[in-house]
Amino acid sequence: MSFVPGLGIAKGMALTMRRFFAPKATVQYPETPADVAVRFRGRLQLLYDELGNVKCETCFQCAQACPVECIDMGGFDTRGRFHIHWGAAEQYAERRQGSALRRSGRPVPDQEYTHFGAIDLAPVDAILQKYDFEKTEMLAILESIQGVYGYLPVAALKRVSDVSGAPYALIYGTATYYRHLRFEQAGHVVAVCRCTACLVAGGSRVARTIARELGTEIGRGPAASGVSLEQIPAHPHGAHSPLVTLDGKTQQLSQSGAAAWARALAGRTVA
Amino acid sequence: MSPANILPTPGRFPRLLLPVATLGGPTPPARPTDLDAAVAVGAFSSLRKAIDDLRAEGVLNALTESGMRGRGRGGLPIGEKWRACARAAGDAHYVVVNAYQSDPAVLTDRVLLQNNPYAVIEGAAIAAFAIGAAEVIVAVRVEATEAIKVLETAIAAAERAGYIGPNVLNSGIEIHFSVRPMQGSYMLGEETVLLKGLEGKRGQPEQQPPHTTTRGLFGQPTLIHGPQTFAAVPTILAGGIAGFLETDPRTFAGTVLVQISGAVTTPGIAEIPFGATLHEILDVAGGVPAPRKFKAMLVGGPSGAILPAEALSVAFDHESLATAGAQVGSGSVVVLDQSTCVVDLAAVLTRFCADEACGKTIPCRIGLRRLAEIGARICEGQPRGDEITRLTDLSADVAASALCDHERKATLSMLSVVRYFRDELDAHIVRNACPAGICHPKADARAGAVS
Amino acid sequence: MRAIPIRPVLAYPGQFWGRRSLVERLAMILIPAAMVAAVVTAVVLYLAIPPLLDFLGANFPLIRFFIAATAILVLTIPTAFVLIYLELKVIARMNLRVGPNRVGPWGIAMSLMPGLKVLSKEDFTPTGADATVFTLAPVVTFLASVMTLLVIPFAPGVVGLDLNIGLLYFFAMGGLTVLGLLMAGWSSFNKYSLLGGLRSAAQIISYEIPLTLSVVGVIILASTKTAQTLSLNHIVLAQSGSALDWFVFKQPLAFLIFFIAATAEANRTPFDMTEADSEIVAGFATEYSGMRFGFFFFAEYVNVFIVSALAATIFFGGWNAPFNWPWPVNLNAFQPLSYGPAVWFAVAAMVVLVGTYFLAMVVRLLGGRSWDAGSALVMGAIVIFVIVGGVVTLAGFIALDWVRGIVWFMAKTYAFVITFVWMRATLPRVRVDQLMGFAWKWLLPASLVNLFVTATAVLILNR
Repeated sequence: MSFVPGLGIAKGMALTMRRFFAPKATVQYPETPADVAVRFRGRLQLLYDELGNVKCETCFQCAQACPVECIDMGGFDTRGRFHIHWGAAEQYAERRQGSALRRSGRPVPDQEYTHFGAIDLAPVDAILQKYDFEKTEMLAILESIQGVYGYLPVAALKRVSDVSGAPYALIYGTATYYRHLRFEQAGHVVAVCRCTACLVAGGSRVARTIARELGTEIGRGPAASGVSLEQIPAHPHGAHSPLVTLDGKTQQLSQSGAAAWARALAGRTVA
Repeated sequence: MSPANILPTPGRFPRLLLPVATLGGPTPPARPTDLDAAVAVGAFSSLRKAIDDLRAEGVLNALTESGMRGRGRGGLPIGEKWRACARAAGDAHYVVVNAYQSDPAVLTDRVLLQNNPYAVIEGAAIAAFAIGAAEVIVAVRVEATEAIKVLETAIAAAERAGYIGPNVLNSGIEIHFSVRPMQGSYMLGEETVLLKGLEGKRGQPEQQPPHTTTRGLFGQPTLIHGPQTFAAVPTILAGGIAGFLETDPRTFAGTVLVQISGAVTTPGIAEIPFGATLHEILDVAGGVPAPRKFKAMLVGGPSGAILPAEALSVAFDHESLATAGAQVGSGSVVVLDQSTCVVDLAAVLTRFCADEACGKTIPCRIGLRRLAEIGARICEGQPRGDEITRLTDLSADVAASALCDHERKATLSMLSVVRYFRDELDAHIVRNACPAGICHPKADARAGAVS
Repeated sequence: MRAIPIRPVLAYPGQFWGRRSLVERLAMILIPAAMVAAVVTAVVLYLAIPPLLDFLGANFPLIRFFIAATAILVLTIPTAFVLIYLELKVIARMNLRVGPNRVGPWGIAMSLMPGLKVLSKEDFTPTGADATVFTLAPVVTFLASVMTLLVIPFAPGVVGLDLNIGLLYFFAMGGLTVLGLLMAGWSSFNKYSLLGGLRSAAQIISYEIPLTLSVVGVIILASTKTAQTLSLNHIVLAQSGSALDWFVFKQPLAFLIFFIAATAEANRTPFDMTEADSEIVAGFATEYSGMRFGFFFFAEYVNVFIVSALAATIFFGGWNAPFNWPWPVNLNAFQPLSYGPAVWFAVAAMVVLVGTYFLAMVVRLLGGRSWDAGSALVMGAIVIFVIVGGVVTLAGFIALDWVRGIVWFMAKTYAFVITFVWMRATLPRVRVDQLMGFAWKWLLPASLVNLFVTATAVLILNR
């Protein structure tokens, strides 16, 4: 309690005037990133493991779960099979090209990405009609679409979503999960069987050799040679082990002959 | 043990061996889709008995008293499962026959459907009646073309005769059957994943509880079993509980179809009672033919364990196998001889499981991949110092945090190698040598191979 | 990965417009409109200018008043924006923050945001409210504040209307704001608005008496120097000379009372609980939204400017410089208007073009390769305009007394404005009963004492 009236006010105002010239405590984010602990988990970025593989599976479950549909994803899936963007509207997806991947700090690698091409959509409408626009028949619808076009064109999937009202995330999540659905035309397909009988008979070695010669991996999409390596889902009864097929036809291969055969195949199909 | 051949036509499938119990009748019909022949040996009599005499409550009681257990997922008593599903509230109940066998080499479910479809149909119809379901969905692999044809013919015949359809046995009850060929993922053999696939969604498993009996297909109470379970139900109801138990007093769990393959004289499918030892199973298949020698047995398919000769006395049922570190799985027993490297096999099986994982949970998605990498490093001669400790710790973590059985059981193969084949493992790690001559750790290490 | 072949997307109606950016759209609308408007205006002007000039010549005072009033009305909005910006940044800096710095350069566009915000809100009249009075209340408040600017002298010769009763007019207009507040509170059909309006009215009325009484002392002082003592222009003239002639040194107590009372008049902290941000109900303005609330909002900021201006005028010498510096430069020989427009245009163009190019090169040199040619030229143009503007202002400052006057007046006024903002950043709020008590029990007696002492002193010293 001071005896001079107004002294308190004067002291207070002097303090604020001093503060006016004092250095400011504001951190200018995002030019200056905040100083956080090493284990801080709130980073807005995709994480990579120590081998450089991005951990996001692009399984779209986050987008599907989001109640306001505010998650937009794009980029390669971890198997490197395709590069696709989804968004609430076409322009939105285009504006946010390379959204998830780019915000992680990596440059978007795909120079070949082009706006998806237009296709004849009448078969898609016919298929949807046949399944009565039922979202629960999505697997059958996608299989039928693949039956017509040979793969799943992006335009067809957008059409399915627009007409049936199924969210993109549902369609995309289903389409990326099942191995028999693909997003591009299949070239030559070498399939190896990895059932227990074939594995015991040395199928794993054969598969690894073929993978190395072709330059790709199982389920990873076509290599530069245009040949893709897939897995036979079920060992047909009566077939011998280890089982290797080319475009569905069984090949008679020994462990030693597999490398030469694969090399020849890769060389033959490279243009 | 009375031999009775219910699974005929040797030569066309893996050689079929003498089964030890009856499933649906003493002699199988010559043509599996011949409804009259099947009815003559008792098909659909249990259904009639269930609808007319026992009613839903009687069926549930009969099953509970029989103590009958399911063939998958730890062999839980099916009476309680059916009762829980019957009691659960919902707009519609469903019965799903999970004949999608994810193991690529095993044919047991397919063979059962091809040779005795009416047993499965009748069992599923009884289930639908007991829980109040109007829809039965049979999910099969799309590759099982013969089984699908037979099943569809059988369903059509049964519908024409009035055993299923809009008016079952003139009782006013509706039971509709549909066959769904599925493909595209190894994980579809898991209950909740199959239901997701039937709903057209991404096949990722769900947390249980809530169990499928409370919330399953489309969120409604769903009863889902394998075809072998459904095929056993008419026998239980027909012969009475006592009749079923008399088949084998050793166990109360009934029989199971097992596919024996690998280094045996007569590989094939056998019907064995729960509780038979692995040694007996090996004998049923004729044992290992000379000059090959028995080395190990892969019990449980790709997510099974590799058991040594000392484990041949283990009984083939859920508890005993779990104690030994294995699982029943799809009923696959692969016999390995000296030409197989168990370490390489375990590594490759783990890699297979990692590739087939759906990716929903992190321990499975990343943990199994790490386990596969550990296996690959060991086989290629570049192990790090503490591989075995890391392996066991990681496997424990993955199994403890598992959402579904795929994750839980995928760790079994490598853990069994650590447990039973330690010396072979050490040879790989310490001496960079493969006793079986399959892996070339020294050469690979020199060549700098990476998996 | 194989590339998917490109096929052009089919056009749909509205595709061209939809793909334009905002700038392109504005350009596409405004440039043709501006061209048409220019042509039309030229024609109209050509036809209408001679009679217009005659009319203007005949009625010059009226025209002057009209222009002054329009200028005042128009300039209140930028003033409000400047004040809002000052408030945001100065308080932020005193709080060790930086304040808005993203929205425009140094955040200046942020102060536009409240304006745009109130424009975009729904403008409704509550059910049961007296629609006429409800609509007129913000108008009255705003106009009452703005009309007082008519008599404030910004510079010698630059005053809206040199009334000889300017100060009385000023306080009369200030009192009209009470009317506006009461209209707002009463017509809202909301008991809380009514109570809030009554409280605001009570506050303003209570503080008007000390305010006016403290100024009377100044009037008495000014009467020693001039006859028209209520004219603000003459009060400023009475303080001409040096800073020591300013009335603040002769009437310190009056200044203090005036300042405190003015803070309460303007509803500023520490006397702002009727309309403060942290009060739950917005007092008389509870039922107002949209532009009507915007008017109250702007009226408040204009009020701050007004009381600052009045303090500067009455106590601190208005447009007088603190000291008269001897100008070594005699620019009277420099008669710019005699050279004719052609010469000026040529000089201006040369300066701008050469300056732009030269400065662009400087920018490029200093900034390195990060400046591309276009940006460097733009920067050069901006800098040359800033330089030319500065030079012209400086020349005006040196040569023209009215430029000098405006500069000094604005400097003093904004010093007070910043003091108000400073107080807002520092002081806690006073309770309404404390506020009223303070006015009636302390300020009123103090202003009476001041009046008494001043009158006595003037009487004695001028005997």
